[in-house]
Amino acid sequence: MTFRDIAVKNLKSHIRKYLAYFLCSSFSVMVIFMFSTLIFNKQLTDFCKMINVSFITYFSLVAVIIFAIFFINYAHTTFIRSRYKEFALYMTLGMTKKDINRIILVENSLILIFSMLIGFISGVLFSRLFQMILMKLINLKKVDFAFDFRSFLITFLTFTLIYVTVIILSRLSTRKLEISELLKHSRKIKSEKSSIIIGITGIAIIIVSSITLLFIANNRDLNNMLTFMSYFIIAFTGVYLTISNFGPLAVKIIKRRKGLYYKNLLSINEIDSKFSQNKKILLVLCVLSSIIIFSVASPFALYQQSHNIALNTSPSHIEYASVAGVNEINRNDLDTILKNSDTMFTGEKSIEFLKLDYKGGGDKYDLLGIKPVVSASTYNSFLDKQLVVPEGKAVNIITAWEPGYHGLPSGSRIEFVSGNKSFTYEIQTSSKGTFIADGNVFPSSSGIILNDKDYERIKAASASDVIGSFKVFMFEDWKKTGNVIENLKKVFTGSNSKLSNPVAANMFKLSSTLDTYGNLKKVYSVMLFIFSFMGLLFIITSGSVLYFKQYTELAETKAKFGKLYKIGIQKKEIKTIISRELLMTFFSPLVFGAIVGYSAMYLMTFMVGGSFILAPFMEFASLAIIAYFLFQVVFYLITRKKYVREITG
Amino acid sequence: MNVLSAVNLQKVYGGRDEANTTKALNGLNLKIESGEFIGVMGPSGSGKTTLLNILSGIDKPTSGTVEISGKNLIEMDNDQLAVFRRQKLGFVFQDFNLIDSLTIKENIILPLILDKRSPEQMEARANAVMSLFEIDGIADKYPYNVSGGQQQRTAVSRAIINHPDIVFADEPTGNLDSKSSTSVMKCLERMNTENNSTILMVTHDSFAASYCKKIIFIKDGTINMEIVRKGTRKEFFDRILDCLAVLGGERNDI
Ligand SMILES: Nc1ncnc2c1ncn2[C@@H]1O[C@H](COP(=O)(O)OP(=O)(O)O)[C@@H](O)[C@H]1O
Ligand SMILES: [Mg+2]
Repeated sequence: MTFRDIAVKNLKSHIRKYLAYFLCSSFSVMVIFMFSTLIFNKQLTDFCKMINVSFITYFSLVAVIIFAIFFINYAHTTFIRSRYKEFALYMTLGMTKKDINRIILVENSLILIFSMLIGFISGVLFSRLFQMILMKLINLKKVDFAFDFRSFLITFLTFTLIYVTVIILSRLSTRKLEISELLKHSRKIKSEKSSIIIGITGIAIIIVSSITLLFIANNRDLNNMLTFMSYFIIAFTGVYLTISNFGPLAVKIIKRRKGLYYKNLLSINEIDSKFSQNKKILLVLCVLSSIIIFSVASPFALYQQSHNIALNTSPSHIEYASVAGVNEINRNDLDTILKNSDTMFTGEKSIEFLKLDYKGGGDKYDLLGIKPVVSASTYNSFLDKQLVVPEGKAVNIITAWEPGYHGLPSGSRIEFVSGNKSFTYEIQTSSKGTFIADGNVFPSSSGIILNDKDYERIKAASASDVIGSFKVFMFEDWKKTGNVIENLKKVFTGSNSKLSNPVAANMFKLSSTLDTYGNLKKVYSVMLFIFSFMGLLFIITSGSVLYFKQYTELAETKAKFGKLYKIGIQKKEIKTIISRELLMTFFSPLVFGAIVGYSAMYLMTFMVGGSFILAPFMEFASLAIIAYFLFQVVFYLITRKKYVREITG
Repeated sequence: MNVLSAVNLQKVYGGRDEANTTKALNGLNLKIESGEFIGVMGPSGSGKTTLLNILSGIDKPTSGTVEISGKNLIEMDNDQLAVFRRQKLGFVFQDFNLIDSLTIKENIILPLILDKRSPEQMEARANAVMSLFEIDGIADKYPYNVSGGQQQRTAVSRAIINHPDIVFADEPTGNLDSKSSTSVMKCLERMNTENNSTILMVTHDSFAASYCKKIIFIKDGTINMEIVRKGTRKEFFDRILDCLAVLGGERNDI
């Protein structure tokens, strides 16, 4: 019998194990592929860039890849572990470790190749559907399905890399094993390495990181994507440490009371051994459930709150900058438009500013090299604030969405040029915040506030085309301002096109609560779709992981309870023990996931808006958790029934 | 005093049609008095394990009755039987039947744990029985880290921790080398003489059987003959060999 014959025979006799492993792999390939196509879908990325949410596609791809790493690693280890006995037998029959490694390598390569094949085929099919729905949501009529070869490449590389790592890891762990160890391994249940101190540290990490998050959420400089990702990583490190040491910790605590310990010995023991056997899988379940909670709840909350978020980001119902002939409209025409409004026009304001050229610093938001400059008193009276700016200093208020100082950090200098004079100020503070008008109205990453005297000095030196004003209009019902917006835009497009530089003129946009609202709704519906889809995937995954886990354990558990049955355990007692263990396995990930999910939601609230949407956000998070919980209860009851029947039958 | 009495036991395994059925027990009668140490021998396939499983309530007979300490096992349902087993019976199995995730000591007190006894009682009995069988040094180890002989002595300890009315042992030395076999058989012998435990042991090992006070031989599902120990163990051992020869079974089938 040649080596190949043995490998083939193997494959035949363990077809179910292979199949499960193979399906997991194919599923991972499919999912990674689907999400990587999003990155290279130009229509989608353009759209996301336009509305400043390009992170969505990357974020979801990264999430999916992390998930695949755990998932495949899990599938692989269970697969290998279930075969230790077989390997031991081969080794007693004279096979070397090298041969065993070759078997592992050949099998895994075959599985890799075939799951890649199946994964790509199903990925291409589902991607079409996936993208079609997405494009519908952002109102694109023409949809291109050019599958970028880079998405194949990314999937291929990611997946191969995961596989190689996983194989190396399992090789490292089998290298140490002797035949006797291999045989023992299937019996050995306790991991001796667990430590109570580490377990407590784990719990502390979760608590401290979550509380820290609550505090920094309100800090505009700190609540960014980086904090968000770091929190995930730190919190889940804590979760892992807790889970992997939970068993001994619980045992230690309960052991103090002998009566309680002995009374529940079998349940405690079952939970303890299942926890130390399945720590990786429990971690995966925790991550999955936090992502499920977060990814289902946040887009729903955002979508539902788009009204409030729009009002918060664009409090002025209609606003535009009018300067140097740009966005000019004569009073009569304006009055006619306002009179024809579908909703009552309730007031207007005109806020003076200077459109100043400046030297140095700037990025894609500052293509024209200009900044809107207002005096401190103008700023204070419009926004009802008490900002004090000393002479010679300037306050920089960043209106761009992206993090960073956009070339003007605190302490740096800004030099304005007006007429033939130059004026230099030191930036006193530079931070995100609300300027007179939002970022679209004036093509710049920020607005500048100067001391009234400095302001007057520049104004005196400036030509009249530097002096402009922000126009702000308020209505009774901003949702009915559609026709006003349309009419104004029509007038401005006409008049701006007659200017010497119409391209630059068109960068002074008319901004409205209604447009913001419309855009937000689009963004959120895309998020809703992508995230709910991810949520759905993860629910399926988490369900199948649990199912997979139960069934790999079935034989072992059955044997254990068979032994207990002989010395006199009742069916209902078996049921109690199994129920308790399943309860822990099914619901502890949910608890940890809920903690992390809640905290992440909290941070998210401040990232997109502020405390005004906190209540509805947390409400949605709670709803999501409750829904997930109920779903899990049903799943738990079904599994328990089937599982108990399998064990006692 | 009569501990166990089985009347006209029949056990038929198998399918709906006649051809596929096996008659493992065929009208077997058995009485066991308190303090007896009985060995059951017979060729492989003669129904020894089946008999033991039925007497201990792990399996049900096709017909016939089993009474232990005046209780009719046939009339009990599975849960009642489970409670009965952990309170009144002790077990030793060929494959030890220890739970790998529990320590040696925890394995020993299992019947008491199942029966929800007080922790003081568990501790006291466990310590006593572990020192009796010289396994107190490995109390906190796990079964896969101790020798076969130690595992079986653990099982023996577990079998008597609940002061059972009768202990059933199915091939207790089947998986052991001769040295461990001797130590386990000495344990059983001590249980019988010092604690006055009643023991029913199935074995095909004549050496192990020579520790018993009485041997019954079964063949084709019924008791074929019975011998009682008189004189030394060596003499008894020789008689067992003779009987096996007469019975026509293999002498040392494993
Ligand atoms: N679960 C079962 N199903 C069908 N036949 C069985 C079963 N258990 C035992 N038998 C048959 O019953 C007979 C007696 O078996 P057993 O009691 O195990 O014998 P022993 O223990 O003396 O070797 C054998 O012929 C065996 O094949
Ligand atoms: Mg047998």
